[in-house]
Amino acid sequence: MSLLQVDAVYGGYGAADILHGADLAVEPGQIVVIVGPNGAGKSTLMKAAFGLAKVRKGRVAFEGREITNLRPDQIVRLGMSYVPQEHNVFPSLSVQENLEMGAYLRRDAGVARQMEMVFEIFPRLAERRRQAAGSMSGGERQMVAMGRALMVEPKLMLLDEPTAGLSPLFAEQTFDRIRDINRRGIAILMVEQNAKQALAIADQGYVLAMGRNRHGGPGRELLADPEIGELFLGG
Amino acid sequence: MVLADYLQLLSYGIILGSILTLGAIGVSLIFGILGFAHFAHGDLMAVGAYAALTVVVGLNWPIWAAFPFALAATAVVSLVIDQTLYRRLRRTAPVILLISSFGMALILRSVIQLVWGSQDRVYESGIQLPILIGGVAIRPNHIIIVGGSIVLVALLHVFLRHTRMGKAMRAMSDNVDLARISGIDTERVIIWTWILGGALAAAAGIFLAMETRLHPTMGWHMLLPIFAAAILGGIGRPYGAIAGGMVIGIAQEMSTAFWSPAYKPAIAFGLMVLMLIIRPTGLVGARR
Repeated sequence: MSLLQVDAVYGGYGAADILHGADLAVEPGQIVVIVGPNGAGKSTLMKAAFGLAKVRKGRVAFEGREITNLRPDQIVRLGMSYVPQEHNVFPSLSVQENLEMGAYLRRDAGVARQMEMVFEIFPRLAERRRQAAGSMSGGERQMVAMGRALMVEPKLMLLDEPTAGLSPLFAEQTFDRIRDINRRGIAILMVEQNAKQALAIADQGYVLAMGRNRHGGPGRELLADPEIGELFLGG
Repeated sequence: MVLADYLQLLSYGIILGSILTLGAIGVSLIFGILGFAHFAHGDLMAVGAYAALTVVVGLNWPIWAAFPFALAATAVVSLVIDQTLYRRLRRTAPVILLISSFGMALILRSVIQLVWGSQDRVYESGIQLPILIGGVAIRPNHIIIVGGSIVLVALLHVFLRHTRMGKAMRAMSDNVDLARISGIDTERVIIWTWILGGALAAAAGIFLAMETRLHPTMGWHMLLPIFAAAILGGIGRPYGAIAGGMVIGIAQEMSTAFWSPAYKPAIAFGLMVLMLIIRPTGLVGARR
């Protein structure tokens, strides 16, 4: 049974559909990457899975349980968390408070343990735990955002363009951190503009165009496919 | 005028500033969490003041004993208004909520007038003898107002900084969507926002009535300086509201040394407009 299964989803935000029958599956422990041209509906597909975009037709299931059009706060309880591309930290809250908000649903002793794990992955956050998230650099904010999403101990973490706007060095580090998180048993589903770098670490990749799947397969196979390279990865 | 006169005006300014601060914190919290300007906030202050009067007259209790009762009653009134009216409008444009709150302001004021009449009332008649400190006359009520405000603001600070709900409130004020996807129960945060906003408004209303008198329009007349204070501090930021309240209060009272007291609202309005032009994000930092 797949961790996340998206079947023939149609939908979007308003009257006109952005997704036209998109499919997706994430197996436990995998890194799955969605790539494709601008306006292909990559982010919308991920948002539809998390209840942030409307699914008009089709089905979304998490661990075999149907979650189509549930609210995000209901979905996060099941063990799936989401990092938006922008506005993904609480700027006036300290780093530690941001992490606490990620664990808002939990009242058990595991919260402190989970925070230690986040600080292990992002040692910089431990140094700056009292600093307001709004006063940090873009790369550091991305760490806070990912740390917040890790606090619920998710089985699957969704990342919307985690390296957008970051310098090549920070982008590289972010991919390293994502692999680190994945090694701890957390499955990753992400949308990325840096398609080559992302596919290089992906167990499974999907190429989306015009709201439906065009190609799918292990990340390295997609990278090696000359047609995909030419059409979607800029040669 | 001599120095003592200016100090006297400063003391009045601090008293008015304390009252404005308590009102402005509520306006700022509600704007931050719910995203609309709550025009009935001044009249919620009046509800608090009259709730206290009901206990003072009805049970013959002293005002300090009526105080917690009035805070609780006003918190309940705020919550009922939210759950019966504003909650149904949450998905509409903020301007619809704003206009609805304007209507609610009229309703509250009329109900107060129906029940208590439109004449001036006081909690206790008679004159309080002032104490002279360095040429500045201070009445016992003044100490209660300023001291009470400091205690309430300190309690609010502890709540916002150190409780789970307080932090969730600040988080939601920063970013509602992110709060929702973090699993924060936003309806619960809204309920607590009204409880706090209502209770602080009641305290402001009671302090205002102690300093002046009770009248059904007492709160309505405070709405402009309260909004000026909230905007000066950067609306949506409760800590800014404290600074804003003090600046507006002191500026209004000090201005009477130079201009007729009739211009006091103009001072508040002028400062608000000036602030919107030169630093629209408010005194306390910029929102990122």
